[in-house]
Amino acid sequence: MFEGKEWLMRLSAVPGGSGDESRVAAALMEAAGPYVDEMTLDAIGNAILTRRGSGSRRPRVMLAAHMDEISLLVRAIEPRGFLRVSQAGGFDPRALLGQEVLVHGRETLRGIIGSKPPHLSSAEDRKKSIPLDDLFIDIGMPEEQVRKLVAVGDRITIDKPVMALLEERLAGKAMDDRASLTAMLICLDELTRLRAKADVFAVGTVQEEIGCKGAQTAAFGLMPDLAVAIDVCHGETPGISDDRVQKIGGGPVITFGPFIHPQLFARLRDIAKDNRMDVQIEVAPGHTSTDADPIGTLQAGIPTALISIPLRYMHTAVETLDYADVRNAGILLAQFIASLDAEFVEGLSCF
Amino acid sequence: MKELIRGLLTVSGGSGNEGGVAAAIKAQVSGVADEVFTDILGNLFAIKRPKGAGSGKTVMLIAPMDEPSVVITDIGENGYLRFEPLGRLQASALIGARVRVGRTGRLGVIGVESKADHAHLEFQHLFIDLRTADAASAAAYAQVGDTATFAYGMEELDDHTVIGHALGSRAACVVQIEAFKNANSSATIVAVFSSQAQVGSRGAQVAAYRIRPDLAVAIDISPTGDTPEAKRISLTLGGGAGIKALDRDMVVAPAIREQLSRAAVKAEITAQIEVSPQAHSEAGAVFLSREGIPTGGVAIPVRYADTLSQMADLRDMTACVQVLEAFLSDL
Amino acid sequence: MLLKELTESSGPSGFETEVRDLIRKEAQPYADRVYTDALGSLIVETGVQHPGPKVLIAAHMDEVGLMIVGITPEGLLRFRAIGGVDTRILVAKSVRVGRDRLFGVIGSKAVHLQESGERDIPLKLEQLFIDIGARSQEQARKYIQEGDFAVFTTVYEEMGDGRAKAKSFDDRVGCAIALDTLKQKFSIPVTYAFTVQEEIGLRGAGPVAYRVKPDLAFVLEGTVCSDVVGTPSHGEGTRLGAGPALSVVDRKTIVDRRMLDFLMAIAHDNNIPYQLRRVLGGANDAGAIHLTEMGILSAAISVPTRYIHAPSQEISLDDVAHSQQLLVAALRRIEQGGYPSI
Repeated sequence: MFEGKEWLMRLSAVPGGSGDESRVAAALMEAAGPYVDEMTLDAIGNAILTRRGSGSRRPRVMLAAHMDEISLLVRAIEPRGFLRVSQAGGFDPRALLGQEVLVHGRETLRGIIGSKPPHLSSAEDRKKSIPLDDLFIDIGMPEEQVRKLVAVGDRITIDKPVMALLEERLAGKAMDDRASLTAMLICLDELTRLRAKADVFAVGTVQEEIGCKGAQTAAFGLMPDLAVAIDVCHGETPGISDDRVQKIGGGPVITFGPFIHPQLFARLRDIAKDNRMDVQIEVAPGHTSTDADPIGTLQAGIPTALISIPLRYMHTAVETLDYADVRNAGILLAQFIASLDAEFVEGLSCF
Repeated sequence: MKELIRGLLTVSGGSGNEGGVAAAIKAQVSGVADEVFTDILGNLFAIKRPKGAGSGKTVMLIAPMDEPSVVITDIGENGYLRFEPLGRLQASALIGARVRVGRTGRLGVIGVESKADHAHLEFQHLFIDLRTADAASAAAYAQVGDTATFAYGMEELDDHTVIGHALGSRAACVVQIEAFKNANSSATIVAVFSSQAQVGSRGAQVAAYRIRPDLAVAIDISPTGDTPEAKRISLTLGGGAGIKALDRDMVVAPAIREQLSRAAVKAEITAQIEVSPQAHSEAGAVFLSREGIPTGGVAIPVRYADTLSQMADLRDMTACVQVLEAFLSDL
Repeated sequence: MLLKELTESSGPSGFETEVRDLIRKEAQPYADRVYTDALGSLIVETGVQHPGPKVLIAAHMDEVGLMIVGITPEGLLRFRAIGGVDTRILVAKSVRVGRDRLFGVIGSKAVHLQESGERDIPLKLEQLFIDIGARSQEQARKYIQEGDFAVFTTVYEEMGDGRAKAKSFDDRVGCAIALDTLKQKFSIPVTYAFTVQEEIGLRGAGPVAYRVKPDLAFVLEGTVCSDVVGTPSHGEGTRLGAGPALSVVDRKTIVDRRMLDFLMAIAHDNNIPYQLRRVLGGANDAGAIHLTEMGILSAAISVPTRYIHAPSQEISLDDVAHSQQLLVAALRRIEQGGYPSI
């Protein structure tokens, strides 16, 4: 049996900034090995895990969950060895102050994002947040040594172990989107006990955080009959109206809207109902800002759906979710895939 | 190199009107290319195949032919032209600028309505004065849809520093021309001189789809951080060839960055890493083509990149050429 | 012309069913093949037995609209825009909403109840609700669920001197021209595509172009027109009644000069009035089509539309007729081999 929660905690810890996902791919492949027939890395680093279905007319299903996390890059090395940074992906700089990081230079080095002590900052200072450009990283060594070990362009990731909160709730960095990778793995494990006709291409995609890039190119290469993107969505947050957020622990979220194929949405909702699984429905009047967006219009068009896992405090070091939602997302996906046949796929172009 | 830059800067190349630049570049590369052709969007392709068996691989170089320009959208009854920007231009920076209508070569000056608030200046407040009497006589020099580019050309500051109005395009083209001419590779080299880069890498998108290379390198300029109170960017003018790690449209995979850095070491030139969150390049569009194309970038450091007086160092440009040559010869 | 039926059909982006069914019924008798693709675009093939060049005519079915995202305890509907809607225009308008196409009104605080200065500040989307007359959230839920769409209630009517008003001329007028054109026979393969999701990012047209792989493409649009009092010439974009507007450049396309010259020559030879579109803002399906694969020669012929994206839009019926004449003349010229190529 696949140990989902342990793998999620392990995957969360792996550093993998956008464009530098090879360590995540390796961990993903290690986890998926027992459940798939084939594993490849494509030319730009997407991890493609293939599990063959049975029968002669096998639908081709692509799953997309992204491997990358938001990260920083060294932009300049300052006198006395402090590092200035740029971001790849969208941080709230206010949430970076005082964090611990790993600097991936010639060696992996510990660092702290520095801050001015309250004693030395004026009341006026404390009214302003500090922009990303003014943040600096301290790796605790003299400039000469820094310059030997670190170069402009080197990657920096948040360093924070996962914490188990009450019940099945977990908090940590990069739960966006390692939670979805875990759901994909749970799905692959579930499929070993189901009879599915479809060939499944479970893709750990690269560079989602900087424009959903890997999913686009992977889908172009795979040319699936349909695709499901798996990502995180916002959990309920005080002060935010409830049509923008979902309950953590309330079940996987299925998106409805123009970017989502209506028949795939309906099938996912029906499968959840048949399995007596609680799901939440999110409506999106336009883009979803996930891997689903570029996949849908590739080539002659690919029917696409989106399943999300609600998560609070997105893009911070303490992204918080309920593991039950991850597990159920994986089960829902597997049951959905097991329900697919060639006839259903052909019907997707009938409007 | 200097004369080549000067020559290319005398040609107007607004987005969608790159024909003149393409013709000038074609004259440069025809002699060494096995094949030269253009496509629907106006991209110019020059192909150099390996001598002998070759590796069977294709590498694509790409540099933009178009420069920031304005497109004429209206000819007033009084003969003054109204226009909108193609590319990343700021309205306030254009007051008093000298422009040339690409198709006819007519010079003009950009004026501003006196009532306009300079702090919130928009393009609708600007006009081009061709010194014609009325709409009918203006129409002889400009029509709706014509592009006009800035008319400054190249000046030399010292023996290795040049200033020009469209170095963002032409300096990259010159580096690519030189690298293509000199290159010896076991891979097939396709040099793409692209159209419509300023309006969002449109030429690059269809060019990459056509060529489907195994590997691509985008050649562009990138702003430096070595001027007073500049943004914290580590590129410096005269600091050597820039090797792209990150720009607004692209994060380069570490392996490709290292491949280019090794080429710099081999060529014994100074290189610097480009981390420029504000700079654009065509690398991102090429990367996204088809199944995904591994893509890197070489950046020419330029001061005042967003102005009509861009400053480049010929030694940096030579270094860029040498990095590319070493990179290509190692494929 | 089916302008009345087409503009009174509901079809915001992603929900084009009503429009698609209407067009399919009309097109079927004249087509060699009619089918939909995976996004819902309707593709109508004609002249398949003829040799090339293959021409694609594209018009988008979708309109801007609203999507219900929540229901308040009082039974009012919370919504967000599908496509580009100026929130300021929504106040005191009426909509059809939900599967039963119920009437709904978008109300606002009465002027008497406002504090001084309030009316100077535009209302935000979060301050606006659709009222279907429900007494409670439970009652509203019987008719409406999250994800339902709403569209304006405007009726098509002719007005003034050869003008007409309706909602969604952008781009049902393009659909109408395409539908009328496909009733004529041409000795070249012409594929008519009624695309989806143009208003939310030109999403339908790219997949259509990839599938059809035409040699030439013509996009039919309703485009911006602001030739109204107080606007200088360079702010108009187009003029109502001055003929079809040919795109030169917009946010997503620099139109190929050969295509533009081709259309202008045809207009000239056939005494069809035309104008050049004189504004950069806006975009149409050509933006996606011309960048498909290795590039496709594309042009756009548009009907100037005042108050585009607002509930009541105005067009000149002469412009519609001239747009169609220009398109037909272009297809006839292509039949004779006189088309641009590189």
